[in-house]
Amino acid sequence: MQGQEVALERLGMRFGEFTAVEPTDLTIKAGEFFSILGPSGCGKTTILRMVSGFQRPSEGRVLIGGQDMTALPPNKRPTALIFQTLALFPLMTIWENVAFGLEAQGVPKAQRRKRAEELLDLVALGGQEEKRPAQLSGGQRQRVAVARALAVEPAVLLLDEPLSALDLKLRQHMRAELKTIQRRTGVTFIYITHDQGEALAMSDRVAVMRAGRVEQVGPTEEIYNRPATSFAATFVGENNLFRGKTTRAEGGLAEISTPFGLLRGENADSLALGEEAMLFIRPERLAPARPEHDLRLKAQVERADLEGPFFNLFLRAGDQRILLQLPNEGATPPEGEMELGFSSRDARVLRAGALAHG
Amino acid sequence: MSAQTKAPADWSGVILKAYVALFLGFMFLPILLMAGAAFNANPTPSALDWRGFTTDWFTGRTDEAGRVLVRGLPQETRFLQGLKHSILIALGVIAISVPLGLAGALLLTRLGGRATGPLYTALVSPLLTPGIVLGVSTMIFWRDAFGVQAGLFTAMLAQSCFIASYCMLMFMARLQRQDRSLEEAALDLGASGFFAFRRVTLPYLAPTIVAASAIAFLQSNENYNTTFFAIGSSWTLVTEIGARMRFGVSPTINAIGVIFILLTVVFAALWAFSLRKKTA
Amino acid sequence: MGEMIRFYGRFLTGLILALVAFWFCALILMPQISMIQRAFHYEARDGAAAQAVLEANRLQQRVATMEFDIRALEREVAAGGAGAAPAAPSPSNPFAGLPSPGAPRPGFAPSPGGAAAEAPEARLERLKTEREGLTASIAGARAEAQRLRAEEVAAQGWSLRNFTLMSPLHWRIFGLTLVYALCVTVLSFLVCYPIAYAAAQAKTPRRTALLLLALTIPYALNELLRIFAWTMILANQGLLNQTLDALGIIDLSQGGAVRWLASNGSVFLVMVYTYMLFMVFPIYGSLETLDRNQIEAAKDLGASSWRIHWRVALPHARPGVAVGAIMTFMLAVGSLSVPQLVGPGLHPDWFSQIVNRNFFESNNWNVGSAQALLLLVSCTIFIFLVMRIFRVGIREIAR
Ligand SMILES: Nc1ncnc2c1ncn2[C@@H]1O[C@H](COP(=O)(O)OP(=O)(O)OP(=O)(O)O)[C@@H](O)[C@H]1O
Ligand SMILES: [Mg+2]
Repeated sequence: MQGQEVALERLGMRFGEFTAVEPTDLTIKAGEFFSILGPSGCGKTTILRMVSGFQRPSEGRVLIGGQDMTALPPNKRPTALIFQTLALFPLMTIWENVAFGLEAQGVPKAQRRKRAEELLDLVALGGQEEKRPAQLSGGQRQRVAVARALAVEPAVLLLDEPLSALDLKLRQHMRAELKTIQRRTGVTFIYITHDQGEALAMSDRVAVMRAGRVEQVGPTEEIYNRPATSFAATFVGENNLFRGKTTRAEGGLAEISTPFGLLRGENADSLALGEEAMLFIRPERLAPARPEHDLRLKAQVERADLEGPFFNLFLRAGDQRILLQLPNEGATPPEGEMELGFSSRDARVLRAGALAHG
Repeated sequence: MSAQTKAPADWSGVILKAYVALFLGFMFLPILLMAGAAFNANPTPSALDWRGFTTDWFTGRTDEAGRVLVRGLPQETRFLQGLKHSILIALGVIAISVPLGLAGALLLTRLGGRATGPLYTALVSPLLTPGIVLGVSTMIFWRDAFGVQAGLFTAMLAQSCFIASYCMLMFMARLQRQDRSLEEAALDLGASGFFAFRRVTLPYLAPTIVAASAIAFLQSNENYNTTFFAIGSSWTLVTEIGARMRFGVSPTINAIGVIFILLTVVFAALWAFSLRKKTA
Repeated sequence: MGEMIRFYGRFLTGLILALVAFWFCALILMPQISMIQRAFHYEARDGAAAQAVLEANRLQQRVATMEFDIRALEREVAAGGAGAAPAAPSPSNPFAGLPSPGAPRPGFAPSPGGAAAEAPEARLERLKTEREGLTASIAGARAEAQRLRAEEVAAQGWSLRNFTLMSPLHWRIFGLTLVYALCVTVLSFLVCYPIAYAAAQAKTPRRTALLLLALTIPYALNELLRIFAWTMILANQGLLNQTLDALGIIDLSQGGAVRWLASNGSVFLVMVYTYMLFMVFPIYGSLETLDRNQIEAAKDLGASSWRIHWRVALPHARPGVAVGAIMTFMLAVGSLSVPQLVGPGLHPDWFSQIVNRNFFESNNWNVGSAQALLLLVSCTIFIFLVMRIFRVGIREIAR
């Protein structure tokens, strides 16, 4: 098995008047674990179906390993899709499920059986060959689906929110397992999810989508630390948002005027004077004011929730809500009014735009 | 307040119960009478004018010389021949209407788009067409176009025409409940369309194929109006019963009725048993 | 379509299309077209022209008989009229009675009464003039036949004559049959609605299942056997008359049997019985989805049972009633079995019996086709009317 590169060239999909996916250029490297992250209905599945061949794009091309696949049916493409519903064949045993692709190729039964057993061992399901899908737990079924897809030795494995049906613990366990399988096989994974934690934990690179458009593509740290749009900033991880007009822009920094005075941050969108802007600062970059902080504001502590290694402090300053993550160092969390501070290098000023939650 | 409104509601409940009882009597009385007459020695079918218990209408009766004293089922060769014709036709109808119904259902559930509405209407129209019209038109078409005289073959086709619609509706109901992604998964794993159909869709449809065949068999055997016109000078069990009802009834008809009832009971019991087994 | 080929591949898609095409063309469309073709194709048969030809042939035959008599008489006159004793009148069959030359036989007298007294010469004269007259009228009859024939030939082919020449009696029967079928439909609804309601709203699923099973079992029996069971009840010596006799209402021994069979009432009754399932199940199907709480709520608001049915249950059952009505009407209007078997001697016939007679007794397929087409058209119109009145679509109808 060897992963291959997937390239989308101005790939777009319209259903009648409705544009599900706007023309998109995207290259996914061979052997990469690539995630597509976005809210429900943003067109993730549609992209996947175009790559696997179930959906004929209304424009653009799909190339896999440099070869144009746009006109090929799904059974002629070197891809394997793991469905949102898993789509295990209910009337076949586990090993028949896994060996289905080989059966379709006409591989003799003994050989099929052997290969299925190997793959089931790989996903830690040895000894379950004769069961039927209904007799397995959710996580086991999940792994059968992976084994079945790997059996045809695909160059690209497409996974459509495969963990969404599992409970939290199992999900975390399966994340690690999928990651291991990907490392071991070297297959290109295109992984779809609307869970940003999942995307950050597993992927090499992530594409953030909104309403049929890819808003940002990059390695996970870049997506988290340097979101390119207000949507990406609020969809991936928690963020504090301050609105205001740009009053100064120089030296890579932008200053905006807010009810709490002037705040500064990295001018990521090269904003000009007078533009509506949003300043984002992650909760873990906020702290009780320290000397090195060049920006300060006062707020009232409303609640403190212990999350284990840290506290979530919910603060309020006028109409503005502020979230602050305070490392749990054994002390009781502060109460009443407190002064916060942050460094302008940690804040990001972006053009005012759509947000992930209302 | 609720006590006030309870009283009339209860009355209507009593009336409804009484009606249901009456109705069940209305359903079963004729059948019981008919079954009774099968065992009455009276050569005019009757459950009232009792002339002694006999099973002669089932077995027939001959004297030592082999002369027929009572014409029972074994002597009624036209009934036996008719039964053979009925079964032949029914098997043919299954062979034709199950694949046709399946093809129609696949086309309608998979096609999508604007064409399905008219196509659906066209394919269910035989269900809404009087049986006599189906019989007549089939008879005419095969004679005018191919010179095929009405007979078992045309009867089979005329029946298949509307029985296929029944099958199609059954298959559609099943296909609409199917998870499309199963077929997609098969294709995605490199299966050809045919292989995916054979290995995934067909096994999924298997129970419906059995049920549709059973329905086709029953419908075919039951049918009179269409068959009467399409069968020409041949006959089935049912058309023969019809002919005998017009030209000289005999308790052998009752005997056939009793056999039908027994078969029904046996099959219903088997069916219930298999269901219980499945749920247990 | 492209979607389907991508899905099933060329082979399977082709097979599916071929099967559906065969079904639609060979089993549905073409037969209907053949029938419609015949319905609009007039075929002259045993009409006026054929009658005229028959008449001419009959005259011709009489002339032949006469010729024979004349020749016999001529021989007699030549022989001097000796021993002319007329034989007893024998059936005048000129072909069977051809004389063998050696043995002259006495001729046949066309009018046995006066022949004996008449002199052979006079008779010969009379016969000859009669022959002249007849020959002339033969020519006339032939000409008339020719003219009629030409007229009929001209009328053959595409026309509405199969409909326009249908007798007023048949039109009346057609209309009556529609009315009867409507009656059966309404009756069937009245009988079946409470049962469907009882089954749908039964207290336990078990009771529903039992009730439905009780409904289905008689239907595992053949349609004809169901009819047959009823003829046993309705026969002159059947259960009904016997019961009435036992109650002293009629006296069977005095020949007071009521003739139940061969009456429209019986036909209605048996039809309702025979096709009941097609009304019960659709109504049951739609009532089943009616939330019991709705009825409870209506009861709590003090609604009477009538009101509940009228305002809650019946409107909910609308699609089911539509389907039941369509199926029952279609079955009733096209039923041959029930009128044929419950009412031999029923007068007037049902339309299906007329169709039957045109096909199998008078061998008049084109007229029969026209009549079958009338049935088809009336069913179609009925379906559209019901769909309109009940505001349901075709998808809801065929399920
Ligand atoms: N066959 C279709 N016809 C019309 N619209 C469609 C079709 N398939 C998808 N859509 C629309 O395209 C949009 C994107 O759908 P898609 O399934 O790609 O969303 P998604 O991002 O996978 O969402 P989810 O996270 O809920 O699975 C949706 O608004 C959907 O309604
Ligand atoms: Mg999706």
